[in-house]
Amino acid sequence: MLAMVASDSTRAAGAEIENDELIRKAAAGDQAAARAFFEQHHRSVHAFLWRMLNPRASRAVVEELTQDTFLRAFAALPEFEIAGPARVSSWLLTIATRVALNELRRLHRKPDATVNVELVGIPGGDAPDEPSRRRALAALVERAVAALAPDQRAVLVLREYHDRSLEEIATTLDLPIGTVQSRLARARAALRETLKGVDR
Amino acid sequence: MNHDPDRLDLLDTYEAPEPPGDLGDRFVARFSRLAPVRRRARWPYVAGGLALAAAAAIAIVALRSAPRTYAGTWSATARSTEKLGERGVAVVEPGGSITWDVAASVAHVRQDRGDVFYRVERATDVFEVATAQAVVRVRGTCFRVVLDAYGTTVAVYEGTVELANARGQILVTAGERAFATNGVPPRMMSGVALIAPPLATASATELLARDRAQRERIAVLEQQVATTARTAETMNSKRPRPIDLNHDQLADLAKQCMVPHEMMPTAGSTVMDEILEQGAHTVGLTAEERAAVARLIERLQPAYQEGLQRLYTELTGESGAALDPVALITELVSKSPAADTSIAFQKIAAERVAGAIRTTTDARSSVIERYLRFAMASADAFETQLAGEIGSDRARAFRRTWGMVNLAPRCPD
Repeated sequence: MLAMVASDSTRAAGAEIENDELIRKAAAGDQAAARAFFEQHHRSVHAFLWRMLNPRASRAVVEELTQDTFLRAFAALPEFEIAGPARVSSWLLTIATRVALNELRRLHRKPDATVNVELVGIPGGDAPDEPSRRRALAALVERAVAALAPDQRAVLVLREYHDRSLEEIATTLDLPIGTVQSRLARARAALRETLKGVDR
Repeated sequence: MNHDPDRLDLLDTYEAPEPPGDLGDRFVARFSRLAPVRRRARWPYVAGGLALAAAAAIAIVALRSAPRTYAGTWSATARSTEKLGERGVAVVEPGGSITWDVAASVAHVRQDRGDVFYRVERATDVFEVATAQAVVRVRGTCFRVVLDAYGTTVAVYEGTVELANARGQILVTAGERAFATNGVPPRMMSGVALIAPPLATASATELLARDRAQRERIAVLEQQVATTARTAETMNSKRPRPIDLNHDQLADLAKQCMVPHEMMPTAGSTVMDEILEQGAHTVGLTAEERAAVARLIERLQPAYQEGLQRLYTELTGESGAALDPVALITELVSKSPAADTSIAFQKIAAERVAGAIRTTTDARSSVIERYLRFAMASADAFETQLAGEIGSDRARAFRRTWGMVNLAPRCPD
């Protein structure tokens, strides 16, 4: 997709320019551009929505909402400042965050009240093999993340799985940075408490 | 990943699944279909007029100020899922065709043909599906509309819908089916949909066309019945009932992480009613034995339903009060996280091979694991108590006819 470039910074700049072109063409109805843009970014958006909505939304719903995120992005092109500081990937995650939080609100979910995550012993016999242990750990973490309140989960997922800076998260969620820090701290504390004693 | 010192290393174990390979194709298909909607958002007065003209045969569309609107048309050649704006989802079977116009508070769908399943997420506003014979007004959440040569059939799975035409309207609630065609009021269906009589004013040509359509339909149905009977025969001969599985068969199933298990008999579900009736007929239950089954269902179902409902609530956050046991089981199995399902099925299949299934539930286990243990223990309890009333041989014979859940999850990697 990209021409050869000399350094990481120019590569990143090139990618952003290419993204701008793609999104402009897609917004004008160009299917090839829409597909190319989708292919570049949909894994990250899908993973984000999955961790935000699992297990309350089915796999099919997450896939639908992944598509919705991109359709909204194309529809909201005028809101995105091409020359602004935001990365396209951050912008997409901002939209995905709204989509996920809307979905949770729409479903009238109250995770704190309805999901009760308890410490589960790692299954297995005398010497569980590594893949079994890892699967069991994954299931524990999955449920622990799902049990967080949506606003804490959004901060945690953006930080831990999408490597967003606190400043970027603050922009994404339209929150003061102090609020982001406190939510992240609370989310981590809740996870530590839930996963306390789990043998790594 | 970031190198934040406060980061929890355990989080790395939780990987999101890869999106399916065809997601890009599906996205582009939606993108191309929704293109007119994006234009409409910019110039609502132009496209809105066109949409209203197209929808004039259905109903008056009332748009709120500055609504977010979605419109589209889809004729399916393969099963496909269409999102109807933010209001719901339609699963269109091959041959089905729908046109939709969805605003913030009002949703109108025109179904011209075929078989479409609808799930409506917010039922407080107007959501209508119009066909040539009737209008289906949604008061609930989950239903199917089938159009064929004779009329419109509605089957409701959750909530309530109103089926109306010029001759009248009826409310159809969860578990019920109703039928509407031209010239007569809609009516509830009791198992079999009767074909409406021809209109007195029908011409000879119309009657001949009707006759031909009916004969073609009968031929198709006869073929379907023959195929179903052959399939059932094959499945029954090849697939022993769970209670009759020997050690080798259990071991084979365990390799595939499969735990086929029976559904305890219950009342209130059309599917279960049919299964039990068929079973009672096959075994030749006497009137007294049937009465014993009915008494047992009455005695055991409340706790069974409550147990399933509790698990459903824990899994989804919803009460599930409107769902019958079969629907609850279907939801529990289909909505559980795939990782939990794989682990639970693998674990219990192995216990089954060892002949030592733990029947007590453990609150620390996943919902799907607790469901499996609960369902299997409930079926055993039902058989045991039935044996006390009609004898163990008869109870076992009847159990061999119960409905089964036979899921084939992917084994953990």
